[in-house]
Amino acid sequence: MNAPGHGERVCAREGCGQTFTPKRSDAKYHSGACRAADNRTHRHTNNRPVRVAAVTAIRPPGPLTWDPPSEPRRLHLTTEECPHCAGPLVATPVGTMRGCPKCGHRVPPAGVRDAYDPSEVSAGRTVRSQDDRDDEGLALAERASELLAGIRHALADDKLHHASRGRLEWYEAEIRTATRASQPGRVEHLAGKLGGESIRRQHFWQGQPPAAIEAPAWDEVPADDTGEVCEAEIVYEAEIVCDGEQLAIEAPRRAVSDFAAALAARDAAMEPNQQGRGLCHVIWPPPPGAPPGTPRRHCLGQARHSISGGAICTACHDALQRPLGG
Amino acid sequence: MTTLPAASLERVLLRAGSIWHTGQGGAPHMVIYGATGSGKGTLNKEFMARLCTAERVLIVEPKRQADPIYQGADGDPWQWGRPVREICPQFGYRGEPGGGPHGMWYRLTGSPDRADTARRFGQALEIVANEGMVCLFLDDVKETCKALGLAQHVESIMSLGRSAGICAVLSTTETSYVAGRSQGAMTWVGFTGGSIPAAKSGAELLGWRGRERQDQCGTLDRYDWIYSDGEPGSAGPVLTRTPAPAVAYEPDLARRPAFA
Repeated sequence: MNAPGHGERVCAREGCGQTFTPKRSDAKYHSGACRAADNRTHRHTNNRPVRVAAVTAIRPPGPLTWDPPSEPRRLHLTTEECPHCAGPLVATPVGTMRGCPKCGHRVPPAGVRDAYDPSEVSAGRTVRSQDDRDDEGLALAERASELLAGIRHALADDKLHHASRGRLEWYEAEIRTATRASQPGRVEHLAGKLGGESIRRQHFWQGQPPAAIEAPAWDEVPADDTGEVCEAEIVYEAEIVCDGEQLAIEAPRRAVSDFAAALAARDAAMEPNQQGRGLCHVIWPPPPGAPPGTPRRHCLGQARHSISGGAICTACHDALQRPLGG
Repeated sequence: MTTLPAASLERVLLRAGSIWHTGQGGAPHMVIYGATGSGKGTLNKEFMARLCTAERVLIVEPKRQADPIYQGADGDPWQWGRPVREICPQFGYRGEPGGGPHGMWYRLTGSPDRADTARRFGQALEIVANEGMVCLFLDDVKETCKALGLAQHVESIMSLGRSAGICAVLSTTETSYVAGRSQGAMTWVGFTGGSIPAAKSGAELLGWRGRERQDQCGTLDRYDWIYSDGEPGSAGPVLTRTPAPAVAYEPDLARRPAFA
């Protein structure tokens, strides 16, 4: 039965062209075969509605502003003093340069100067130059070679006890390692230990130690022996310690390392020199024979060495290292 | 949809200049991130011309060949720093004078000999770390950190430089392997070359998350910059633009040294 109001239609499949009277209002094909054939041609369709991309301009409620507080920086006064006229220095806006508005000099900031100021040596914040590093390296090499020469001398002794030989060889290796690693503290520590080391010699009756494990005879080879060559364990004879036959290595010692004691022995003192930066800190007593009331005087040499308590010049450094009366 | 306010470069540099200093409360380090050709060198020159005219400046330039971006105008080849192979202690105050308006700008140049370049750069960064008080421009900082193996030097300067008076500007095309990138109080993100991971890295540097923000970084043009800082009074990120041609510092300022 035909639905009322549905007249004849042409089949929607392309190339069919047949007319039919639909039974439903949305019928498009005259047969199921035409519907299936037409659907096969639409391989990539889906039932989702086609979306239209649209760009919509959103107007912000007001004009966009970007206005954070930004006071421009200008030249500003610092607490540093001009070394030429003692006037206050001004710093550039970022602050990496200093200048004196009074005398017009450009002055390195304190941080830049202090890195190379010898008077700051005691604070441990001074840059070490390549020369300083070279001097330290040479002093360490010299010290290590003194110790190694002493050890080699002791090792050359044929009668050296094997235990002492082992200890000395350990010292030798450790000193070499510490020298290569530029560790003067470690070398001094080893020198201190080596100075207290007692070296024993072997007696004539000790001779060459016999092997504790005798090689078995050819017909005594055990059944499980695979023929592998093993290093036989060698047990030496029991130690015979003779108190009267001890050797001792005398570790060479440095002239003076306790500057505080050397200063006290000379009635000298240490205090930063107010007459200028980078000057020696040592205050010497009046020389012998000086009239009474002669004041103590500050050394005016340039500080080159850092010791505990301050920085001193080379002349004072040498003077303090010389033995008293020498 | 998110929008960024726009501001002129002068306005943004005024803001950057007010917080970029070595004094108390200063924010000493900047990070500039952008692809090759994004205008990092031009932005560096803007900083130098507008913020560093009277400062001691060291540009560390690890390229094997001289970068034409720092080539000065005719008659003033050291306009953007005197090219040097090494710097001496207290450079600017001792030794040879530098370039720039007050003879305090130096440009440490790389060479094809990378081992030699690494040694020289290491020594220079050591001097900078010891002395402080310098505006340090690290161009192509990834090359300095990774290829030259100086990441520890850079990291140390970025970490300890504030108290020593070092204001560092790190320019990089990538964020990986760049030591101290998180120390940048001010961040500039520019053209990322259309790469999605690069745009993502740029958004991360700005502290942003999400695809929309990444797309915003990815659609920047050459010489466009998103500037952001986290200092007090910040108004948030802003879009700005550097002029494509190189800028020059004021000629009258160049002729009038502040200090003899």
